[in-house]
Amino acid sequence: MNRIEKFGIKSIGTYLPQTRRSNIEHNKKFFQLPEDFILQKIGVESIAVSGTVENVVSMCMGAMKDLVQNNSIDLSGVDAIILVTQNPETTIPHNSAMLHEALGLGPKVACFDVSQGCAGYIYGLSIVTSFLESNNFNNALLFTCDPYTKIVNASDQNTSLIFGDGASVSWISKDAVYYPKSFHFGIMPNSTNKLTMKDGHLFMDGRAIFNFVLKFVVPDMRNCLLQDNQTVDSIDSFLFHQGSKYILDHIAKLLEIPTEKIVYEMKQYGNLVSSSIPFLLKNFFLNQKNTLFLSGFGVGLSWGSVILEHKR
Amino acid sequence: MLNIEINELLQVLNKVRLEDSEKEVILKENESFREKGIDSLTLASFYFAVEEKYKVSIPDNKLSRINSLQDLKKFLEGHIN
Repeated sequence: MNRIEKFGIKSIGTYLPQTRRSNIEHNKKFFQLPEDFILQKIGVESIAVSGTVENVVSMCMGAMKDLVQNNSIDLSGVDAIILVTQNPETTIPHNSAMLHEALGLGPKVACFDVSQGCAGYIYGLSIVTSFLESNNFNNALLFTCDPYTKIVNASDQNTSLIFGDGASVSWISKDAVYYPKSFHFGIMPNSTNKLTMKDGHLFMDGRAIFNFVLKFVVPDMRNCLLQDNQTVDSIDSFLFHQGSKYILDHIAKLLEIPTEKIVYEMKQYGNLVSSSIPFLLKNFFLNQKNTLFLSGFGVGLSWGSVILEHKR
Repeated sequence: MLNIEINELLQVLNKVRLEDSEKEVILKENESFREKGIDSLTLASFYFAVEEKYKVSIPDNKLSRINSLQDLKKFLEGHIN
């Protein structure tokens, strides 16, 4: 079946908290690492930090406001709300139900959360498009939000210089702008302790993540290109999860991707976990007919990759 | 037992540094990586390159004892047949 007849992404709304914390100042206070390391290797100058009264639901509603401002969307036509998060405001009820309440929608709406991290947008996209198709639905809202600054220890060098907060919502319908081709997923065996919660805070083994990406994710990116009859040349832009500038540079080197085809956008807000890819993707909706390669990788340690084609 | 030259390891380290657009470093065999300003990301790349070159895995629990080229040489020579 032609993918163009299936579901895709019609539009994206995003939300960033107003507060920024300078990584340069934070580094001076806690770590005293060379400034070049912060700017050139981590690639994050400032971190977007959610306020104490902000949470997953309020930030997702902020993204929704952005979506509504830029689109004429009939909310009564929304059949499903899917939220990707691992830091919900509550575990019971599921936060997609709280979003449903905040949006004031009617009873015929399927709502569920997806527990995924940095690969979460790709997982969410695969789940939501299949869900709409298999249930003969028409429209869905795919939210992402993981406010990691709430779980990061400020004195932990491995995490506090990287993660920021943000939220996104993608409007999924048949009348879309970008359509996914085949999805690729995977997990590195025996790696659950490499990015996890320890003593109430986020723990990340940076070396393990680096090895994971080079040994598992990059080879599968090659498979993804091959399976969809694409090459590095035929892809217009690579929208990778913004883990760190260093890891993106290494992926680029291994796949021989020209620098101008890689999107770097974490400098002013940090690694937004499941929201990092939709933040990049949003910029490709204006008058551009691109073929895009998306890949997210992180907690699990797991990954997901997909190529998006612009509507013809 | 395989004999690994310190200079061989230094070459791998400097290849990684040059690829990262950093200057070559002169490192004596007992000098600490950290004290010479070699950061955690370069070390991750360096260990990755060493693992690939010598077809060996450096477990996390051994890393705390590897602080210099000498330490790394000792580890590799004990784990490569």
